[in-house]
Amino acid sequence: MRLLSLGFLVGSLAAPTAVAQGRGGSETPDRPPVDRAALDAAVASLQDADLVTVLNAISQLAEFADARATQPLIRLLRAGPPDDVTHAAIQALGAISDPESVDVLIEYMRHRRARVRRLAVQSIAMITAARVADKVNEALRQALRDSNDRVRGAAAMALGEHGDRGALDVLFLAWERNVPEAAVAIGKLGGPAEAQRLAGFLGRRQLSEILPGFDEFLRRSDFSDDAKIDLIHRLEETAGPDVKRFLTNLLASPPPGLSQKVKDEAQRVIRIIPDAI
Amino acid sequence: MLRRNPGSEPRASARGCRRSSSRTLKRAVRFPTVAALAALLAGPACGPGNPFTNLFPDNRESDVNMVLARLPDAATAGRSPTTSGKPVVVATRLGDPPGLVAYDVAAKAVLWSVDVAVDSPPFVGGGVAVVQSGGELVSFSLASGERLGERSLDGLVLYGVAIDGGMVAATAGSGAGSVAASFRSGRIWLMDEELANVVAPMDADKLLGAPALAGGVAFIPWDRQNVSALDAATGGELFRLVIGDEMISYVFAVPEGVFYGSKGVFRLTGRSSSGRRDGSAYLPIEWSDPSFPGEPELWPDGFAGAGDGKVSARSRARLTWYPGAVTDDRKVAFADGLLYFVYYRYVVAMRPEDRSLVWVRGLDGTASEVAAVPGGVFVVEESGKMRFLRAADGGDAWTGELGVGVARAGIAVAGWDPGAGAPREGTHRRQVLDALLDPDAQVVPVRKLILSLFGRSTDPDVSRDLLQVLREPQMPAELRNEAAHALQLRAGGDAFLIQALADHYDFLQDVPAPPVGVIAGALRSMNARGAATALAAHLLDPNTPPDTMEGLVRSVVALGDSAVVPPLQTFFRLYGADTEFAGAMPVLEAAATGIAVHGGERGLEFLEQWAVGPFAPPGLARSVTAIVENRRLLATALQGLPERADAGEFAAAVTGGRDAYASCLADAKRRRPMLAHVEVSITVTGEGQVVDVMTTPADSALANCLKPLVERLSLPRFRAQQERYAVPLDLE
Repeated sequence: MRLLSLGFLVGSLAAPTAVAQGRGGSETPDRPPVDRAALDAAVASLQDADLVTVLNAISQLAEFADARATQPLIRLLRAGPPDDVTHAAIQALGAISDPESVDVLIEYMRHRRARVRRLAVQSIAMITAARVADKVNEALRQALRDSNDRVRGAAAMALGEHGDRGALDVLFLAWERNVPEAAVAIGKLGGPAEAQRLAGFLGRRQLSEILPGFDEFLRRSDFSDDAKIDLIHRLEETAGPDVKRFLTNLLASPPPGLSQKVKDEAQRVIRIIPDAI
Repeated sequence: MLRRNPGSEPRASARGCRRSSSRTLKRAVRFPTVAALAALLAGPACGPGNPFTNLFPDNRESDVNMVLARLPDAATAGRSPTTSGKPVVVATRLGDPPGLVAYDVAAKAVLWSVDVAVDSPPFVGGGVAVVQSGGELVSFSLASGERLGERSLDGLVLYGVAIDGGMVAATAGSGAGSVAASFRSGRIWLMDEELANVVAPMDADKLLGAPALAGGVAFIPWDRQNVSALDAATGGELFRLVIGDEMISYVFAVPEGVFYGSKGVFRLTGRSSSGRRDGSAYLPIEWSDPSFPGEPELWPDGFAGAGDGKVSARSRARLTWYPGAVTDDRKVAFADGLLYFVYYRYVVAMRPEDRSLVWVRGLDGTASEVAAVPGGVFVVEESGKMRFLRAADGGDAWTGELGVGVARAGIAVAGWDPGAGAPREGTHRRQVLDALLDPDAQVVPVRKLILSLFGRSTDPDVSRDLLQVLREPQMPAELRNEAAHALQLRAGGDAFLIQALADHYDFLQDVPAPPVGVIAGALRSMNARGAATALAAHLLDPNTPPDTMEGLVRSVVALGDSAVVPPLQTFFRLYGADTEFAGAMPVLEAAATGIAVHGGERGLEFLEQWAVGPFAPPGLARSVTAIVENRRLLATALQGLPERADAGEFAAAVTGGRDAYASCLADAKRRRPMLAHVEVSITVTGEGQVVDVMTTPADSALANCLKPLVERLSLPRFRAQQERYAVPLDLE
């Protein structure tokens, strides 16, 4: 009976590899070609009775980042593996970034263990295929509502990485509900109006929570010089050593294309802030 | 100031009836001579009191009628207990030095304040306030605070004091230290307001209780079974009631009559000589569902001692009521039809007959003393704040301020009209809800009582309020359970519970997870089949608390059908080998059972494949295999059974076994004599395990009694997971 069932599992894990190869792969970024034999061997090892072997196989598949491993990994997850295998498989799916894995990752974003949910959030955020963008964005917005702060933080960061401008309102709601990572996402996604809205929290929230958002705004090439200078002026109003340090760091490692106008304004503010207040 | 020695001669000599010394009396009572007995049998006229002799006839109608003829006419109902007619409060003043403060309620003015050690609650009536101070009773003029007299208690423990018609009656007994004890040795003083003897103190080898006084008759409860009426001017026994079917813990007299009892209320009428509840004017006031926090007596126990005058737990949880005036000699009524329960800083008004909730009122602080009177209830808070709460709605008809902290108080305001006062803000439901949402942990017990009473309201909107209580994130678990139970008992309650399940935790919107465990249990008890899908949605919600998961899964399985198999399978796959339920195998076993029961052959195959898979923990794999095998075996046995039992057949099985649970019905009838029928709802599994029993009208004591006994009956078996059947039962 046990042998029969193992055979059932082995077959179910291995069979659809070829099918998977034809899907998803076209939407994944260009990667160096993967040795087909090595890939097949790793997929086959997913069915090994030894958990260490399975974990090694998952690591290999994550390195290959080949969409042909997506379905075997999904079937592995659907077989109900123990914790370590679950964690590794979810991370591997993130590395592969195949849109076919979105549904299973969404399922794991509701797992009872917060670590699993966080890993699922991070993995799903790596899937950038346009045809699943809405589904991914919605899943990430839902994750902002999670009861665990680290899951919420990961979701906020992921929304910023994912470029979901439609999430700005919910990100501000998260920010107001003390999800500090939301500031970073707002800095990545927002326009001048959002920058000023974030600046409105100066004096009400800790500067150390707001500055990462400002940093994102100031390092963006698609954010106008005038808007950047406005932000620097808002910082000038709360002048202090933290602001001075922040602007000094910005000028020490400026983003490519940071205009001289912005640099001069930053320099001016640095000069007028005494070293110690 | 008049001072008397404790053993001084009685003033009764001035009235032509000099009494024997207490020692002589005591000896006469204990060793009655033929002459003494003859005197006793001859009646009370102007002889030594000699009460409580064994030969005095019990329950003689002519004696009762003679006493009734001496009592004030019913027309005096509502009369002030003070001679001046002024409503007065005399309070024990906290602080250093201790003392008494008297307050004219109508004038809103302090009458007087005296420094005195106070070792009992103040007793107020007539023209005096009487307290125990050290080893003495001390009398103060209500009008002036003048110390009118003292009386040594001779080292005895004071049981109580009654004041009426210019006389003072007091009882005391042997105690353990300053605490009343059940020694059959007591003393009665019948005095004037200066505490001078009217009759020589009388000793009795009886356990005496706190006295009552009306119409020149002292009513003395003794041995917790008897009430003797003594002529206050002579000490002679006028009647003796022996109550056969209820202990006597209190006697008191007001213009509306003389009342006694313990679990219920007897009113002294011509029928009282029956000595039984049935023949007397009697109102049973005994409930167990829900119980009052602190288990207060219906009226303070007259055998417990008067107390030391300090604030006690007993004084913070009490019932109070005032008799209503009735002419029917078979009836007992409560003024305004209300019984009040006071718990710390809450007053709850309810109907005594069914305890339907009338109003709830929160005070500023803990009540130190309360007294129901016609038209409302008078409250003295420990802070010194005073209120007259209207009977109609609990609003302030009058407020006043003593200006000092208060330990205990004597309240003599009956008959006073405080006026209308300002109307109370908010609806009845809003007022109740405010109390239910009160975050003060100290008042959780009274909130639970209020919740239980509120849940019985027929107002459909109450269900919504109960739901709000259920969803309140900070609500203590016992109140959530009570709210769920109350919803469970309401028509349409399952719809509200299912509605509550629509919510899931949302950090951004500050939506808490609903109390899934409580709701799941209630819905299962109600056999709410329509709830399975809504419950299953919480199987896969990470915010469902781990300790509620087993109950949730079992409810999903009990109420569900094939539609719950996919979520159960997902749940089982996700957590079968996960550490989340590594220490809680019953959760996964329950899920596996659900897949086996509702999933048919495909469900069994799913489980078989999982059990032999590479990740299945060995212990759980063995359990799952056993579940599958049992289900296959059971399938054959179940084939001959109907999907559900016939309702008539089920009812016949239950009523046919009445002997098994007859004691439960008898107990319910004893507690609620007016109840003739109940409908019993029994939720039972196909294998005959009783999941839940509820009764309509709700009586959890009866339900709890029935549950194990019904389970022992030979109930019809059926294939479905569980079903609910209603069985009407007569209590007669």
